[in-house]
Amino acid sequence: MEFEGVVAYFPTSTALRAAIRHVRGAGVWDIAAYLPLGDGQVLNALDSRGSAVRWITLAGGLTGIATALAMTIGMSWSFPIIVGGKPITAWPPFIVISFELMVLFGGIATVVGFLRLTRLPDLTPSGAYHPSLVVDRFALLVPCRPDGVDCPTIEHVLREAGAVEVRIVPRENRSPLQEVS
Amino acid sequence: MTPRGEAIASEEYRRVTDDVLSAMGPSGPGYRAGLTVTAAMILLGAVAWGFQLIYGMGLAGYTHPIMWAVYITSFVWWIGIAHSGTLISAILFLLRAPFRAAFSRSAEAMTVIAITTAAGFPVIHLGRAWRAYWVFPYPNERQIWITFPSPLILDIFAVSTYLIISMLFFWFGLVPDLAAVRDRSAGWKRTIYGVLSLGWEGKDRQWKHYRMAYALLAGLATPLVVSVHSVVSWDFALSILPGWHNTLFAPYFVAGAIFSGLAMVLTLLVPMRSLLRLEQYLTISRFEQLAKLALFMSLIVTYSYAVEYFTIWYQRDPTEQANLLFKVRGDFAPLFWIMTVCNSIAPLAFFWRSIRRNLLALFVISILINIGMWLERFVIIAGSLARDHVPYSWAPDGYHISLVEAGIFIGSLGWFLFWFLLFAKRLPVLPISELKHDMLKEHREVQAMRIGEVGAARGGERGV
Repeated sequence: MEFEGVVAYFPTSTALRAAIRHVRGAGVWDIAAYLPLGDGQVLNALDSRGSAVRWITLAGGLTGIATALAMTIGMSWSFPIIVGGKPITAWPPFIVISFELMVLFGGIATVVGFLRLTRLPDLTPSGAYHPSLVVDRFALLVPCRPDGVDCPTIEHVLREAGAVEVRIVPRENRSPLQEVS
Repeated sequence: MTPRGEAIASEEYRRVTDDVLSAMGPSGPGYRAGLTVTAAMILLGAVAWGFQLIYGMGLAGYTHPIMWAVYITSFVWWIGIAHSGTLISAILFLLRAPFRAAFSRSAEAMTVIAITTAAGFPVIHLGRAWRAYWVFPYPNERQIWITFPSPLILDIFAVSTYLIISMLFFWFGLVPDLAAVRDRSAGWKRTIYGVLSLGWEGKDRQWKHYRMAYALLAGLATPLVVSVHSVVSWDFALSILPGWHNTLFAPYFVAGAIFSGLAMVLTLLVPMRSLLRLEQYLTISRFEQLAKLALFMSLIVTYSYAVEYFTIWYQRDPTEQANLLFKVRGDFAPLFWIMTVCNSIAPLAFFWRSIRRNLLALFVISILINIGMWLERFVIIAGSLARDHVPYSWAPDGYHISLVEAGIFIGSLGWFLFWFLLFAKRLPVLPISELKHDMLKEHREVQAMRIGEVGAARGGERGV
């Protein structure tokens, strides 16, 4: 039977953070955590690098500005009507539209970037997922690989780290939006 | 050894989820009656609009010189109401205001619904609503493009951007909470919540990118609060009409928008607190914070009024002065003085703590502010149009609201309340994961204080 990994449950985020340090100290680096809230201390313990979403947002915002300027200047010269004595390329209103499209494109890029980096939407629940993980429980998932450390060893390390419950998760094919109990 | 404080928070996480999701339980007869009444109001508005579409804009009573009245007033009013939602959800998030979480979800919902309500009014006011798409820049056989310097076109870009960003921000904030709703749902509801929650599982990688994306969306939405209503104010300020042509209008309107939005938040959440049994989260203290914010905005709005009147007096322009006097003691005087009492006098009651902490008083004063802010827009718009530069063009019979206008406005109220009622029962009205995060933060701060106190005590014992 193939296994997805070992899942260990912890009662608090502090216990989870301590477990991460313990597991890393045991030389296990490929770990994932499940949290019901975005605890920055746990997330930094796992990966202190910043999210790349911000660069995608920046790219989107710059694209918005360029699009707005190209649109306003190009269309104004294509249909050059002098309004209120203003020049054809009227910077004040064009800056307003550039700002709005910067925000619009930046916002859309942020969401698209988030979906791309998290590989969402993924409607098929993972083998380690349990509904309590989005409510009140914290968990660590350590994958078991045939060519790496085996599952019982991982299980032992996690129990030493203070897990209240540990279980080995078999790899199973779930269907999208399948109910998990 | 687990710190005792956090062990308590761990048990409370489930209680927060249970409390918020229980508000989405089966609806009673009062809720169904509310849906029915609001649906009837929407139907009334639709019928009134139907008559206008068939028989023309004359039914709305618009004629020279007062060509803008109830519709544009309502458009500006609803956009203004939306701004406070963005203020609470985005700006207070960036400022890490502790009382924000209790109101943010409802405020964001109010924003999205208010923008959709507002967006209907320019289309209705167009008369030939089927030509509404002409405002967008698309290649056409007439070989013309839109006039980008026009504030009405700037409005299109501003309001469209605000609508899309607000919808994205609202849905994005819901994603972790919708996962909890998904897991407690079955059938078609599970499908809908599951799709909207993107399959969220609370993994660390998801949270890492989520936190960054949410902060970026908040940062992008924040300047919209200032820019959108500034652009809306320029619909008036970029004209030459006395009473409109004023450089003060951008901050004047933005302050008024935030003020009216805060009032609407109070109007909606005071009854919601008891109807959905959320007293533990929508505490009196948090309402008191909102009341202080409303008082602050009232003072800014009052100051804006004073600046406007002072500059009109100081500049010695007879047309501007005549226009102001017409509003103060002419046909619009009753509306002007009701506006002043509602916006500048009534909120002064919030200086008293007992008033700030009295939910009935909060509700009543918030209604008065809503009325006052609508009247402010109406007095500015219709009152300035009624007395412009040329006496020959002054409206001889004044202005009277028509049945069609009243019906459409009632329809807009019904539309807003209908969708807000749906939100209250179909989506979590409080941000569950944010409340948990606030609880954790509070527990850690308490623990840090205790450690500090113990350390200080031990230092005292050692004579340090």
